[in-house]
Amino acid sequence: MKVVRFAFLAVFVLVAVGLSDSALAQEGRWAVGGIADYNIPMLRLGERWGATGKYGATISYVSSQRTVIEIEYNYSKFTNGKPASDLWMYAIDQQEYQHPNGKSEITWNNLIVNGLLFVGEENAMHGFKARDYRYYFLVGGGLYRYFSINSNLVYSRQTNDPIDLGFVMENQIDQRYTIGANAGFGVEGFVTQNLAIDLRARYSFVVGELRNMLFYGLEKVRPIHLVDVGAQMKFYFWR
Amino acid sequence: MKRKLLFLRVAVAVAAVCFATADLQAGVTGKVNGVVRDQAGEVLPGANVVIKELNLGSTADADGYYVIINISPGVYTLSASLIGYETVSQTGVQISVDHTTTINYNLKETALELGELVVTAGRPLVEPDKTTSKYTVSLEETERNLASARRTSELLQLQPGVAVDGSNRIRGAYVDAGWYASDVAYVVDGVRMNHNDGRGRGGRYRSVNRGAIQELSVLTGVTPAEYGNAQGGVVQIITKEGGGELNGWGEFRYEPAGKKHWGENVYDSPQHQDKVNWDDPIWANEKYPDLSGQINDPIFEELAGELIHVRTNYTEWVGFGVEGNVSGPIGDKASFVVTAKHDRYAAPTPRAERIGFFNDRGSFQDDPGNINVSGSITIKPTANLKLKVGGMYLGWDWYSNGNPDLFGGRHGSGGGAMRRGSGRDLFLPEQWSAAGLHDLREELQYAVFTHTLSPRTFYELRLSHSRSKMDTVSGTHDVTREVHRDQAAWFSIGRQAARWGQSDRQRIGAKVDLSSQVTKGNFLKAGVEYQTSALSMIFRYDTTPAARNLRLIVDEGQIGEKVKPFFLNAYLQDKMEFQGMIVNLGVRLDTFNPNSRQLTFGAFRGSSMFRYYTRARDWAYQEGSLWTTDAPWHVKFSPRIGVSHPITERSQMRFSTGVFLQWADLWYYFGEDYWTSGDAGDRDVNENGRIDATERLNNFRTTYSGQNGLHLLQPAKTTAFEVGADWNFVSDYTATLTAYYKSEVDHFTQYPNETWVGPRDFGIPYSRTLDNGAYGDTRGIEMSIRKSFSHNFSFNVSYNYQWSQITTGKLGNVIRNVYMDSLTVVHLATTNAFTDRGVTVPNFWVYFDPLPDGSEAPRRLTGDDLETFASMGQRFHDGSRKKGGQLGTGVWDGLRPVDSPALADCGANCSVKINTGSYTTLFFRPKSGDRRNFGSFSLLASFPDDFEFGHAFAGTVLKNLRLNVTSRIQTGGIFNYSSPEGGNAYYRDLALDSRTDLAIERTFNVTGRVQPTLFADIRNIFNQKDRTSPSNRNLWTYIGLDGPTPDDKNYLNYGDSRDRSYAHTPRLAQFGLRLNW
Repeated sequence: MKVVRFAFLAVFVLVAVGLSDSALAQEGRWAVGGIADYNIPMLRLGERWGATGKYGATISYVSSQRTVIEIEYNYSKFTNGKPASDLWMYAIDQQEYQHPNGKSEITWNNLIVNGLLFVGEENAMHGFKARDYRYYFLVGGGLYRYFSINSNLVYSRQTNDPIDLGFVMENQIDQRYTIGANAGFGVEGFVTQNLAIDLRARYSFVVGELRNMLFYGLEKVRPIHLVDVGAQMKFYFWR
Repeated sequence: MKRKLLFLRVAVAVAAVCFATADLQAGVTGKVNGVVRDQAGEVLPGANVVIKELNLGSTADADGYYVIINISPGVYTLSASLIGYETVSQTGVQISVDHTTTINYNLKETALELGELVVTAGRPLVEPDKTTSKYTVSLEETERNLASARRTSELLQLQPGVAVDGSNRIRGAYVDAGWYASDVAYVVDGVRMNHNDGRGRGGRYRSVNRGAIQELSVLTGVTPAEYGNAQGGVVQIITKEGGGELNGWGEFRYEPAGKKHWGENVYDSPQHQDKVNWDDPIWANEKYPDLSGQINDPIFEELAGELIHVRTNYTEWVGFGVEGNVSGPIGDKASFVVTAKHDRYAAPTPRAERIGFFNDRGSFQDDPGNINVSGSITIKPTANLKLKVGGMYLGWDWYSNGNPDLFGGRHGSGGGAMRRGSGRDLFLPEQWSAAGLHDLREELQYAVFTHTLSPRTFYELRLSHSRSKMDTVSGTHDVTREVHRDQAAWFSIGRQAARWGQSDRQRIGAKVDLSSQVTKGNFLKAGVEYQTSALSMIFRYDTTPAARNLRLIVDEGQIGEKVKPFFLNAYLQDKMEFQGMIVNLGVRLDTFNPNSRQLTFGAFRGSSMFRYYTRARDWAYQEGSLWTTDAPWHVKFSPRIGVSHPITERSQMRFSTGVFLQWADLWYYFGEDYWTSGDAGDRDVNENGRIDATERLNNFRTTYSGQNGLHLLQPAKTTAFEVGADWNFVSDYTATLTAYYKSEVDHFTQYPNETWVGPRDFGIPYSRTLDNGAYGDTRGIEMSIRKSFSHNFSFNVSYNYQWSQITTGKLGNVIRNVYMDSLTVVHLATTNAFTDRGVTVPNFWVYFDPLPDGSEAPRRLTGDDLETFASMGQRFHDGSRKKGGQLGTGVWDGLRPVDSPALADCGANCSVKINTGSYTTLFFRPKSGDRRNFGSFSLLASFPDDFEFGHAFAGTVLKNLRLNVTSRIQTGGIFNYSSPEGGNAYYRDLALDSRTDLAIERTFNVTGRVQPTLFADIRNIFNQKDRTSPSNRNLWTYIGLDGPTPDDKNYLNYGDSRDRSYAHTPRLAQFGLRLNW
């Protein structure tokens, strides 16, 4: 996973280095930002894990008065998922058990490109001044990487009596580099003419699948839906 | 006037429906039209519009309207001129097959002779005249994808509606299913390439080298009437024509060594259960015994005394492939194109051959001698005449892999120790197969003559010949023997197997198409096609020493005699254009004549008279036989209609519906399937101490569970509907959304049991034929979002969500029984049918007498025999009325008499009767291979020589660089889930799989005559590993277990024996050099 994170960050930095020295026209400003979001799994994904934090960085390019192109890398990890944490009934003795060392996690590393559209003529003219703000709609998509692992789950189909809680299955891994898309809205407020705080909410749709585990009442997750809300601190380079 | 025009259109439409006649093959040209106006908007009659490259033109009529038809697909410059006006040229005008490109002009008045104004036209993002789903890959797109698409089929897989699993199924259609073979037609230059006459797997000729492609289209929806026998869809390929200069490209690909599969090295695989023991000197030094007396193959004389367990370093084998093409002029009026491809890739695991190629489905074929070539010469003696002569050839060798039936079998493999593989056949000799080496050849030659009669009318004549040959060139044994194993009784060390075949399938076709822009709003096209085939097939496959099987396609049982069925098809279609609305109306006539005499019902094969091959051969087909008939003509009409209408300038909607007919693979009209009971060899009938020619194969009898041909089989029928829209929603981004529904009736099912319930001697007297007893439906949504290439990038997202299901249940699809009462038995047994070779043959008999030449002659029933069989017949006949009760939910249609002159004077109640019935339940099941969700994503970024961006360094790196990212994804196959907790089983799907590929290439010397390009093509770049076939599907669904259960003893002792069984290979790269000139 570290390799993935490193690779994504490397791409991110390369883009930054490659672009930062461009000649900046009126509508050609660049920015870098850091994001901290609250990542909420939705629908069937939400049946497995609760919400968690999401962190990342962005590089933004003001392509016109109304549009900003943003390259975003983000990371999040959901832990203590349902398959490992819930009680389940052993068919032989009809008693409920928990996986003693069970672990159920999913980790995300995403590299996506977003387009921010500042709607409305007047709204689009705002920004780049202290205590000014403007709002936008956002659409994006890119490469999503998820790694889901269930480990140390007791083999519930064993016939031992009493149950052998050390009799565990091999790790169950669902992982994929895939594509996804997101859409949302936000507001970009400028603290100074170069420093902005960007608050946004968005929905993400990821083409992927997590296996079903009907024994635990968990249906297959496909596709994967997430919502995140959070803030970004953005620094626009001087021209 | 409008009312008159409307009447004319309706009249043409009615005529199309009423008088049409139809075809198999297809259009290969497009057209351009438009209106020439001045800048004030007034029309300019007399303006000349010319396609510069083709010297083809038209003059605007009184309404300023011009049309140019019969244009080969490509990109052209279109020029409009009129004296007193500035000439305007549009470059980049894209012409596609069966598409009308509209280019309107506004000419500027000028008193002086000025230079021409050049405008660049983009490819239309929304084609207003598209009435059905069609996705086109242009020459430019093909060339941009050369690094990432190794084969033509990989270009296809990126199109919406086309399965991404390599099968190239379209919208749930069948591909390589035994009875259909393929209901997707592959058409090259209007000539069909693939033919369903090889029992499903014989006619796989779908490979066109990439360098031959001018335009590739896939029609996934309601195809026009000119396409027939293709209910699944059409892949249409137009090949290049040579230009004015010599050009082309040649490509070399290198594949480095490495392990090209998941899991352990096959020599260390858990599946061997520790039976591989290099440290044990006895095992490691075990030598071949002398098997030459038991295996009739000289190689075993050489092997005697050689080491058995020899490890190959297959992960160190490297491979390469070469492909190239050259095109250019031949004088002023002719041009040529030649392409060739030859691969020498390393086998992913030890095989009979170390070197081979990947076929169009991506499967490795271990044949170092493969070659795929094509070529064409185009001659244009005048502006109105064109002759294109083309040909293709694909050849490869194939060591039998243990599949008992090259053409798809249902007899169980029994195929151990056939050739070297990765399991217990790991140490079999290389370049050897127990069943020998098969030589396969596919070839196609065609000529297309196009004659333009007037600016608005032309016709095309197509002549074609294709041939598919297969022959076992070595290892044609007479007897299958048991497998020999090493001393540990684990690994195979050889056997001999009687599994050889010879088939020769030739087709000759002739077709005429007439196209005419009869009025401004009516483009009429009509065609007639004739195709005849000459087919023969003999395939012997003995699965065990005691199970001998024989499959034949021969005429009237005579080995060496070919059956010669023919098709006569015609179509008429009218593309009507009226105030923006396009109506495509057409109708086809499909006719098929098997042109052979056959047993009238499959059930007759179960009678004592014809149960054995030689007996049927000698006494079934004579004129006067009650039991055989000349095959009937099959005549079928199928209408098609498509409507499209623009919604805005950047969007259109369309609706289309049509009926599609699909003939079964011709095996199911002519095939004969025999086996021997036990290890019975040929019988010495005349007891002369030898097997005479007439005695050969005389112990082969009709196979109970086999599949015999029946000329009564009707074509399957699909009624398709689709409604869709294209929307160029912003810039050059276009979205397409289509909903489709296909109602499938009279589809094929491998039942029924055709049972002789008339009087008989012994045994189970049934056989099987194909029947039109299945029905189902396919529905789905097909969508794509495309961005055309601009601003250095393009992308394409395709996605399908569909349900495809089928069931059986038609009356008669399971059981078809034949009965004769006592009156009929007596009448038929005592009346004569014909005389042949001095034998007067009654209409019915049971027993045979030997003849001196070793054949057998029908013996007339008399005395007690006659009484016995008459009584037996009556008993079965009376019992037949109770069959409905015996077969549960079955419905029986009662006894229907068979018509025959032999029964004319037998009395009112005297008849051979057929009783048909069904007992299948009506639960729908997913079609085999169906995937509910599948899609692809491809991104192309290409940077020109003058690209500038960011740092000088960044610009330099990116210049002349091209990058392709392609991702394919599909949900798992459907299976019937049974919960370990109990309850009813129901359908669920298995694990999703995906693969992402990356190709990068950089071109050098871009302004030079020869432009080298270096590229890397990396498959499964993220090393995605998806187990789409878990060890236990139910437990995978229930507790997420994809491998063996943790208490599985073999797993605990040795590990996961299926450690190689994942959807895609691990990350693999190829590196190459391409030279464009």
